[in-house]
Amino acid sequence: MVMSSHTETASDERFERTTGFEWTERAFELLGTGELRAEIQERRPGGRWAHVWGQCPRCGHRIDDWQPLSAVTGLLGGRRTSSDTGEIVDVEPVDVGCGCGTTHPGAPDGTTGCGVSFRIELEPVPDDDPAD
Amino acid sequence: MVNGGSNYRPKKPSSTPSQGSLAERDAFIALARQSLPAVRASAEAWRNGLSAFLTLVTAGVIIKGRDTTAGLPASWRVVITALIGGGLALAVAGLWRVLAAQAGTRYRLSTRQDIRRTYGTVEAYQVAVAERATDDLHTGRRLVFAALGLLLLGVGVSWWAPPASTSPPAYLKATFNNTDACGVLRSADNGQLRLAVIGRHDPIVIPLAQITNLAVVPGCA
Repeated sequence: MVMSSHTETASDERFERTTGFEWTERAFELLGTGELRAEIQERRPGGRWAHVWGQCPRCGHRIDDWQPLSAVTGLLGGRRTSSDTGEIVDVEPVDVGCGCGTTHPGAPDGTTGCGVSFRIELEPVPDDDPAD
Repeated sequence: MVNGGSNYRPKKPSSTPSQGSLAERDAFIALARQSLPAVRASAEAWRNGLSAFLTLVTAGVIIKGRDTTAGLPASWRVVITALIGGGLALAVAGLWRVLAAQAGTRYRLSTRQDIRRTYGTVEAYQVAVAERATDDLHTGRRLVFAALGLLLLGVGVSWWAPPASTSPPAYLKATFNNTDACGVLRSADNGQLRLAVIGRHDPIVIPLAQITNLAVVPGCA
């Protein structure tokens, strides 16, 4: 069930595999309020990681999601990759599933999280952007 | 507020995750998880392969060396050296390509966007890796077959090459009356030694009684 007020949490939210756009919109709202946060970390060595943490847009439980954005490959070596150059190229879409660790009603055995998947997009900030 | 890290900021998405994009995310995570095992397996394969190369080159060039060709005429030695050397070079090149097919080459850190931009999906990237390995394998096999041909030809030529001409087998240097004479022995009978020396049409005749020293030498300086 979609709650009308997104500021409330619903710890008894039933499990549902959903990718409804409202949850992506809700996640963007939470990013604006700081209740959900996202960043891209670049570590040397260690490559690039997306880190999303804060409130799940559907169940309101705390999530802490790390995703690798780089991997060791054996075929892209013909030219320099953006990992080598440190070049920031495109908007980075990060698809996040609720991994709140809570077993929600109706969830399959051994499954935690409320079942929602939502998208966060992170765009590079230009060097001369005053908002930076 | 540090949303999006220092170099990124959130942007309102225009679409929601699809089954395909979620599968792609999972595939990339699996690829990243395989980074360490893949590199270690590759390192092991390269270590074994490079050791084999060293053995091959050492056995073929350094140890065997000139044993089989030392007694052959120079022109045949050149042919055999070219065949064996070419065969070894092709063998190393072919085995290198086969090893590259097994162990991969050019491992490096790539981003999800690199893969997306170049191949579209992780699956397409893996197909491209497989295709590259197939190409390497085919090329490597051709090179090794060619190398075997050259090596066998080299061995065959070394079997059938005529021995180096040994005429004369040696020269003789005679010392008599405090003089040295060096040349080809024509005869030594009736108390005389006959030497054909360079620069004289007729052999010089030296009484054996006058000779104070005789030596077999490889050539007359």
